[in-house]
Amino acid sequence: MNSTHPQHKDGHARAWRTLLVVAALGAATTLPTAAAAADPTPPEGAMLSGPTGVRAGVPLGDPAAPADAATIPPFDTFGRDPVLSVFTRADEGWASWRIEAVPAADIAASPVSLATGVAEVPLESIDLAAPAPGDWLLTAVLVAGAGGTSGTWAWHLVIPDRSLPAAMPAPDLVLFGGGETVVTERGSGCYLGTCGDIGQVPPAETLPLVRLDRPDEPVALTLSDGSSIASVHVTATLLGVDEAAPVTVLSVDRLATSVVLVPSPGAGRWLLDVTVQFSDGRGDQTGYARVSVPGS
Amino acid sequence: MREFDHGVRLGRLAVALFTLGAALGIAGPVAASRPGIPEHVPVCLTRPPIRATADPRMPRVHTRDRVDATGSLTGFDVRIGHRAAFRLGPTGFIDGPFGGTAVVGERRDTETSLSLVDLWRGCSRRTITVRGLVYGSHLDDSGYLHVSLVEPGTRRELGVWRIDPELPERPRLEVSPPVGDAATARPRSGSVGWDGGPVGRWCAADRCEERRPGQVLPAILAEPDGGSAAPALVSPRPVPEEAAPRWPRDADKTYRWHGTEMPPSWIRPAINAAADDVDQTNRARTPVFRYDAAATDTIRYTSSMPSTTCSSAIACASYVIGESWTVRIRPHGYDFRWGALRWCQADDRDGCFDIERVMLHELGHIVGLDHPESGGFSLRAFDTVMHELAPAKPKAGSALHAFGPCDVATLQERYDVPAPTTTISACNDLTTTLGLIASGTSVTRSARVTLVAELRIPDRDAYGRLGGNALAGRSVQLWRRPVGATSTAWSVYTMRAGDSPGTYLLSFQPSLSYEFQAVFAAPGSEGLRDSSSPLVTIRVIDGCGVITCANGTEDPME
Repeated sequence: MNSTHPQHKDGHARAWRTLLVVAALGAATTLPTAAAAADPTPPEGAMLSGPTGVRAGVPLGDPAAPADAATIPPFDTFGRDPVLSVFTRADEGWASWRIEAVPAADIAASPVSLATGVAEVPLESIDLAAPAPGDWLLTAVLVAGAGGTSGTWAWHLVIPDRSLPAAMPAPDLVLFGGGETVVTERGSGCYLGTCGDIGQVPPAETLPLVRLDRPDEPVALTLSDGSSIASVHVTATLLGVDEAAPVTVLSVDRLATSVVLVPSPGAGRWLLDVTVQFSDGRGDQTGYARVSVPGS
Repeated sequence: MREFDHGVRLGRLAVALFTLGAALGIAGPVAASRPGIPEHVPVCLTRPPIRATADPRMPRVHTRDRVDATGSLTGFDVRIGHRAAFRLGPTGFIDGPFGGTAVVGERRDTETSLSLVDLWRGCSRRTITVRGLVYGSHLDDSGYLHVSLVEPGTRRELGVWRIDPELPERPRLEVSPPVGDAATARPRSGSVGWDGGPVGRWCAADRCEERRPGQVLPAILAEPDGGSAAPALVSPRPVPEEAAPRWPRDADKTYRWHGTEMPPSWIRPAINAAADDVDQTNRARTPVFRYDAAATDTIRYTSSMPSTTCSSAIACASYVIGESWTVRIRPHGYDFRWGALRWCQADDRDGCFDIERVMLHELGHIVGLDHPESGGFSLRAFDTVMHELAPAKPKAGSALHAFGPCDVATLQERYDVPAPTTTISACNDLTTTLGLIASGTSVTRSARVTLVAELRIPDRDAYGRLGGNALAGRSVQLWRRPVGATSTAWSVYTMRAGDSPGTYLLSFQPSLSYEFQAVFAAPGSEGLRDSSSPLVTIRVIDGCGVITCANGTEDPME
């Protein structure tokens, strides 16, 4: 049977610039949980929520066999005394739980209990007592409500010994091209539960400018705090042309990288609209800049 | 062309006026038309060296909006610890602190007054009047003031100028915008960086320099791996959702007006209307919003935004799932770099923003909706209210007062639908499954046989809380043909609703053997796909031949 809901391709599909280049930092992409960490919509497993986002737990097939923290990407809370919770998107919730931490460097040490309990009505979210600053292997033995998926999940939790700021600062989108670096003009975005919506894009001539040296030179995109990017969508609109339609320059999802190479949109002066989803479900941010590309 | 005014008219410290007019080609003479010092800023009697080092004991700067009876922004009340309090007009601003100094400014018709306020002593060390509108200033460690200027009226960028506060008559153009292409530099104030300490950032025309210890500019770690086609943007698609935990379904989210940042009376009905819009158009078990004077969560009408994410925002939503939420609305008349913010409820001319529409967008954030652009989706004006740029009047969708179908699709996946009969948003594209069982598959002639079909959404993670749902109130057909007949010989009947949600049934008294198949033809108004059941054969043990006794008594029974 045919779908009753055809997928309409919009005008952007006419993008003539189709080169898509992603430079991923190798280590991050080879880790087994990298994709899950980058996915903004968590699966129905166990998720750990902290001040720097949400991280999917690594399921442990054999709860008796200890996890190796070295194989789990660290989840950095940025500071001490973080508010932590383990939650699930599954309707069944957790009927009982035992969540413990051991030093990552000494997993044979006596575990520190962070939460343990039984609920008559299964809970979607369990608050944890944060361990002291340090490098921890967190293990959660969770029994789901009727019909749910029970199991054991692990995280590599890093708690630096410093204060948490009142509000975690959202990173800027940084472009590197033509031997120079610019910070994009901040557009609308969300970061860790705070969403700002701008009214207008500032006039194009006021936007930061990237001057490329070659027609085919890519622009490197990073975040100002060096954190990881989960998806990137970039469109370019020719400046100085009435009603110029934006073209898609780059559209990639499910990344786990801190550097993305955005292909040159081609000769001309362009307005770049860069939208990034941050890793660990931290949110998204749009940035604006101009790029000037020489002719061949 | 330069001109000086040492501020003797004020009997205060020197007020230096200089002009950039000649250098920038701004027409008209330069004049100090008014003193240019923010009201009530006390003037320092002595001027010790500027303290460049921040100190945790340094007094904090608190600002509060002042709005008039109509809700228009009239200015700001500023307090520096317990040391000083003064007022700024509606175009006032504070940058910094830079060490122990803040730059306090006020934009007027054609000029900007800037005061370097000593936070330790709560007084102005120096006041300077600059021709042009300052949007962003930075005081560096050497005591130089850098200002980013915009031309009055045209809002054209005029570049970035360095000013020595001790010698303001000699400003130096740092970034000269080419003709027709204004400067792009944006000096930024220090901010709390990722390392917990202040991070100074200075952006010039084509580069930014950051004073961030240990910060290394990114290296290109891999070369392009060759061309592959960029995926096309697809529309419509459910808007992305926040990865955070969800509010409980059907949660009752109450709000009140903030005590000191109270929305004006003309804006409140629109906010309440937006809350009603959520309730009436979500078609999901989304939390609902209603006004309650005793509520703990608040709606604020303020220029004080909580983080860099909202620094340029006209509205800002913040939430901690399970605990609290708030929405901040920037006051009418707030002066952005692109112009003054106008809410249509106060000034219904082109270019205004409809507060009900914007508020619906913010409440969408609160319940977990993200911007569709972050997922690479380019949705049409009426598909969503979550576009990253709110359309101003008269753009399409600028007065949209309902969640769009792509918002509803996400809310349904996130919170489930209120009933099995609820229409699945047409922005979605869910497969369906249709099962069919018979009360007997081998019967005697004219025995009653009941066929029961069950229509469901398959239980997949990607479908969120819609996964596994029964679909009731749909039209399911039962196709029947004699065993051995050709495929064109189907008779089609409409099944009636069964006792349990998602079931459909029909009874027969067959006199010959038949094959049955249930068929769901999804209507175009729903985001569901067609489905059909496997064939079910009912054999009549003592059945007629097709020729001998098939007749109209084979019709379904009530």
